[in-house]
Amino acid sequence: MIDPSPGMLSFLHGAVVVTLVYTAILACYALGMGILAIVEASFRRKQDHVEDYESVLESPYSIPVSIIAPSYNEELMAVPVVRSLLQQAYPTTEVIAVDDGSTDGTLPALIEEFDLEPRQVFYRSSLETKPVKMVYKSRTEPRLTVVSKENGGKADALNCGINFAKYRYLCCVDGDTMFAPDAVLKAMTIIARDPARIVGAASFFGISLTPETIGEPSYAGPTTNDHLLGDFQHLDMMRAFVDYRAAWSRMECMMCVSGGYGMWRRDVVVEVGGFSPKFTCEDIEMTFRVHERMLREKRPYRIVSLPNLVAQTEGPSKISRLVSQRARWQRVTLETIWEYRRMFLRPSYRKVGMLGVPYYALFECLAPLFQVVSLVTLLLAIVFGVLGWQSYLAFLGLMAFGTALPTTLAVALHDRGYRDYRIRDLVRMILLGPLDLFLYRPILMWAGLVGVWEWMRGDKRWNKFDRNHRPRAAAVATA
Amino acid sequence: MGTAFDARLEPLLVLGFAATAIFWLLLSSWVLVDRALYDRRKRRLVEIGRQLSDPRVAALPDARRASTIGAMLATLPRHEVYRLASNNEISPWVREACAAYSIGRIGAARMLRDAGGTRKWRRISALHALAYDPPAELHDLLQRALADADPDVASAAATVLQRLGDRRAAEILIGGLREARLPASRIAARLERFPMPLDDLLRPLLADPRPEARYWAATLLRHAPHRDGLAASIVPLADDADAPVRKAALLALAAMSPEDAANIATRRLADDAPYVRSAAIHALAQAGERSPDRARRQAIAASIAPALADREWSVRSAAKDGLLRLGPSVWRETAAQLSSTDGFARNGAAEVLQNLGVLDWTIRGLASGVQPTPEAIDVLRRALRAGGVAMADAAVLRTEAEPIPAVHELLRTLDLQESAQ
Repeated sequence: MIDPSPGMLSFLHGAVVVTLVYTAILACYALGMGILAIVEASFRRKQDHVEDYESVLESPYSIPVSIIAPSYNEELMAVPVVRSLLQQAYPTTEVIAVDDGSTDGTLPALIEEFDLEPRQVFYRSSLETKPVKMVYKSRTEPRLTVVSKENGGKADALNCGINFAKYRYLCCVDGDTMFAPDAVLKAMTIIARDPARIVGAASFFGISLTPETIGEPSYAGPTTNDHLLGDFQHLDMMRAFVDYRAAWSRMECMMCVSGGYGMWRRDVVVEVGGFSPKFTCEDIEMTFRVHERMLREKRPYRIVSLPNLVAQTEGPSKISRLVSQRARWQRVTLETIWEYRRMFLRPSYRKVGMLGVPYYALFECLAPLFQVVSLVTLLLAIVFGVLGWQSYLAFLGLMAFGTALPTTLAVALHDRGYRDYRIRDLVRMILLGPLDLFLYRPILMWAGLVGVWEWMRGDKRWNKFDRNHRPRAAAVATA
Repeated sequence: MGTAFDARLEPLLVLGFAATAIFWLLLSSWVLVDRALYDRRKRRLVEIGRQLSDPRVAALPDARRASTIGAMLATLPRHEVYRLASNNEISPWVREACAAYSIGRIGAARMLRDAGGTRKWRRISALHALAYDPPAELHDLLQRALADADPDVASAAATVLQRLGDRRAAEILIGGLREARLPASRIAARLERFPMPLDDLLRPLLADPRPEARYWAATLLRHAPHRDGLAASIVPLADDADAPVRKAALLALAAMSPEDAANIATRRLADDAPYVRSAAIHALAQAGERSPDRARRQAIAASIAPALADREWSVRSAAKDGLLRLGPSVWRETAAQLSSTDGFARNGAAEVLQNLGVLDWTIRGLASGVQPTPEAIDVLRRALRAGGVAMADAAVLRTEAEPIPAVHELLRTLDLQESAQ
């Protein structure tokens, strides 16, 4: 043990206290969110059980939806994703697949699978985009339009899809995400209750290393990945959607309609200028922009998050790829918070300004920095004898189970609502909860730091990760 | 100093650790136990279902069958059975059995109180359950529920009213079109699927002073079986002061009496409201599509085609769809718009000609050495000029024309530009 100077000692005391207070605030936040999530999940579960989906399915008055699926170098996933979108159980949909200048076989795969032929289509140029190279219509599936355009990023591709969209509601998805057949139905049934006010909706989508399995005949419900990194990512999403976003939605300040699956009202998206290519990712920024516009103009609106699992998206199977992806998420959060800093604690922005933005600023943007400072502080406190090993271990234990609680709550709420996982998957997910702090958080912390560094450097790259290895795909390629 | 600080902190941290660990353990155990109990109940329900569908149970006298079913359901918690009666995710016959059991076990009087109460989910469950053996008061309760501010309660009431399927239920739903806070489209969806004809109930609404009532009456009547004078009673609504009513009337007439609709729609092509103009185009296209008379289709196309120059995108789009529906025989009327001074009309006409197959037909002719008529070549030339490079590229790719000199010579002389969207 090293004898610290009195100044150092005071500093360490202060730092340890600040760490504990920050942790306590986070715990209070998690507790509050947990309670709200329970209320919201219970409400949605009961609503789901009594909802007459059949009448929505058969109604000629169901609001039509344009599904926009941008993709860039998604040779492997493009066809199954488009197929899963065409198989949506909903009265009226159109699917607009936008190939954002892929350099692989994405477009030829779509042309071959859906028997596409080139056509000139004169569309509404509501939003500026990179030039369209060619439009294809399917000879076999009249609801499908494939647009081939010059590369401009996901936001640009979405805007291009919006220009082609015929209907009032847009379902904006990722080109590597596979959808359950009721994905559109579930969200639109909620939206149809109040279409004048609900301008955006999100829903829970899970992480899978091979999401295309959801479209296979043998698919019998979601399972865990039997892969630690994949399962931690899935639990992360489950926690985010089933706990936190559901709670934010309950409070009417849901701050992120994710890019993997997001419903938007077309007129609102066009009015705010479409998805912005200036940001690393488009989803969170669009949500902030819509909030900002609606609240500034004092217009009635709602953005909701639904707890049901509608899709599976591919998560990276390697740590380096995960770090790259999460660094991008951290970067876009920082870019967005910086862009909308004027909303911070401004009462005119109501709950969004007073709760949503401050939460993102304090606990999402600063989290990586604070975690590192806490780690260093606690280590110094031990080295200088301010904190004993027993206290340190107790703190670690407290954090491990404290982190596991929201995860377990998310598993509990999801299972109460949908009963779709097998018991062995539930056991695995529950047991992974306390390990999250030791095996997964450090990766996220590192990714967060990388994201902060990239943001400071002005990096705007997408950092798309290579697709995971598929034994079956490899076998087909070999054959 | 450090030790004193640590000594104060350590018990707190240990206590916090123990508390969170125990809480996690309890929560985790609850998740698994709850799931195991659910699985057991589910298995039990499957078993009950199997027994209920057993012909021997169905053959039992009513009293014996009821007691047999009751004995089966008695193995489930009472509140569970009550909730199951309103659960749309399970089979109707299980719901019915659960409802009958709940009414017997809980008592109709208490369920009626629940159905009129303020506890939302219990109210919904009671409304669903009572519908299987409707007491006299149920319609009034459903009427109140349909007018409720809570969309879940109102939506449940609409579902139950549709399931009741009687005249009084229909009257309540139709009343809800005017007064309920639930979006009228949700109620209309139930009326669309109503098990009895509703024309006599909807018809008086055509003269209702409220435009919403007239709108929904016209909309819902479009699928009514043809009754004397029904179309005639909708005709005046095509000139209604309210634009959505005019639109609904045009669409209803198009479905009921396309020829009458076409005559009225022609004058509505100049309506102020874009969606009425679109509906007029739809009505005209519907009449033309069904007409075996080529000259009639061409006359209709000639009236639709100028809408390709409409200032609203939705109307231009409707015009393109309308011309396509009329088929290749209207290519001349469409091609006439290639000479329009309006850019939208020119490129819209080019797109329609492309989708009608007119361009492909001419290019294939050129490629195969069969000389198309000068008029066809002229239309191709003007369409490709209006459609721009992308249209020419798409046409060549689509027709899989090899570099045929005739095609290339034609494209070269066009001096194609990128066409503005």
